[in-house]
Amino acid sequence: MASATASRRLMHEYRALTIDSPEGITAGPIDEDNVFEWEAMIQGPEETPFEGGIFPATLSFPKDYPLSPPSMKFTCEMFHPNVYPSGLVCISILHPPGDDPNHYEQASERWSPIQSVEKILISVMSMLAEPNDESPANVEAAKMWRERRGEYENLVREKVRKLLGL
Amino acid sequence: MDASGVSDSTDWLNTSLPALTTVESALRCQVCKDFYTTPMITSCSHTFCSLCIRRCLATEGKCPTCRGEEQEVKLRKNWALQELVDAFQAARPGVMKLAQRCNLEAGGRLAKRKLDDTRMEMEEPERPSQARKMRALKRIPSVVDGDGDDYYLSDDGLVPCPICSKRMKEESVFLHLDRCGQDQKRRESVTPSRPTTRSSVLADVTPQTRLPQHVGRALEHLPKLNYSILKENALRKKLSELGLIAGGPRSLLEKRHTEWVHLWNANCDSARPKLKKELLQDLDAWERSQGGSKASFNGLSNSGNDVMKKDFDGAGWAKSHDVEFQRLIANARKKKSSNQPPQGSKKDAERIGTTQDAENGAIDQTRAEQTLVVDPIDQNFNLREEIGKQDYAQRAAPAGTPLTESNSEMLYGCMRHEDIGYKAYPGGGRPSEGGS
Repeated sequence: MASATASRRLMHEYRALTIDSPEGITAGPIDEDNVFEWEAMIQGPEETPFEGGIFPATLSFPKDYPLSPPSMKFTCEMFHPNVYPSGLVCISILHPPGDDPNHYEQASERWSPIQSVEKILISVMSMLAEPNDESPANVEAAKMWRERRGEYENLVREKVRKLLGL
Repeated sequence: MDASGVSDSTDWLNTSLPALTTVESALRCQVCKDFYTTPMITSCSHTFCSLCIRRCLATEGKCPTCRGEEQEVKLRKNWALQELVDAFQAARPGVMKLAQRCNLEAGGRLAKRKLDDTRMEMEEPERPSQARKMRALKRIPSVVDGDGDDYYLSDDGLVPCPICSKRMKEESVFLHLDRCGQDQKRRESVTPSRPTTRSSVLADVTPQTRLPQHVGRALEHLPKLNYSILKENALRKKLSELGLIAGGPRSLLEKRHTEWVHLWNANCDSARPKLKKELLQDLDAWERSQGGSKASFNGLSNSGNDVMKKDFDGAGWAKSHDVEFQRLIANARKKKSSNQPPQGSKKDAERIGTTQDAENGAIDQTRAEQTLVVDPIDQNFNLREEIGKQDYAQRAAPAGTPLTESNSEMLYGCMRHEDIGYKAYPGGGRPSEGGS
């Protein structure tokens, strides 16, 4: 079944994640009939302003996955230097090694077919804890994070509380 | 597709043999996550399925694991691994059954992994599950010790013959060995059915073996083409010479040829090559799975295309898909009658969003800001589209041809394709993957 490589591989990942997923992460297809659109939940890492929050996101996989990486988008409001205001996540593991529009990423950090949804979500979790302000997707957030860390953290905490409905 | 239909190395975690998780994961390709099919080893000593590594190298020219430069010509077969995979796959169901039965007393592993267990270093040449693997490895020596004890510590003062295991005095072993070795050889030549040689093992495990690996290579690898120096007509000619479909836009021609070369060359490596007919089916399936929307218009033998044929058996189709038609009709009626969109569930909202994404980037933004609120304009557009699809399909289909999700999508796709040159099958729903 050469053709169904992408969907078979996604089913493998889904299965592995349901049986043995790392702490703080859940992910799976939104609709079992379409394995190319996933929903993921990420817990805010402890000892960061994101602690306590649970952040929903969607993952869209290309038809030639895993040759090309998926794209990831938070479906809740995210104030973070590496998340576009639209929710789109911008980290190196989601970028194919061929093109480097920002000229700052190591090829070794970028997407490779042996990467997986699990690795992406773990990377995003550590991105929440440690933003990369070299090439910010949200300039305002990056500036605040760099120059007024306290204000940034308070704002994030406030947004997390709002997300939880407190 | 159903997740339970896919076996995975993590299946062992909740059995009495969790250590087999790492064994099995070592027998699986890191690209496709399936058991290795025709494993090939790179010059940097990483192993992948022949087809997987060929596809990867075509996109990037680097080893997916260590990102070292690599070329297809440098790939070498890894027969030993292939045999191991075959043997493991044959043994798997039995062992799994046993391991699951033995796990009744243990409660099963429910705790989630700690994040620290998962190594993230990308430069690391080892597999991602290394941390887990190391843990499993630590347990192995005790098992080996146990075996050793059995062998040496016997209180009868005798030692076993290493060939036939018969116990005897230590000094008579060497004398016995000469005789025993000859006996053994004779016995094997009398009973050649014992699967001791490589080819007979393969035949045992896989009765469908079509071409034993030691038979001379009848299949030649196909060369790659430099598409940039090839005129479109020449490329079309090349495709038809290979027995492939020569229709479609240029980019598709190139992609189709590349994929064919991958399929063909991976098949050349295989110990059990497929027939060309099967490869053509694989190519067809690949083309549809890649969103090659034009595929069905180029006379590929796919089921959706049959609907357009004059001799299409409408009554038969209606009969076999009756349930789906009823559901579609009911859905359309329900949507038509309720002008006010119902409080859409999140799932619906997402799905609508997905279809629209392809057409309208602006709505995308709206969605990002208010994920849970269904945009009424969105909803109406979707509603009109749904009804339009069905109306059109009803008119276009041969008399008595009822609707299925797949053929209405298809017909609608045709209409849009012809009328406005729109890409058919927006957001999935191709006949090949549809629910029909």
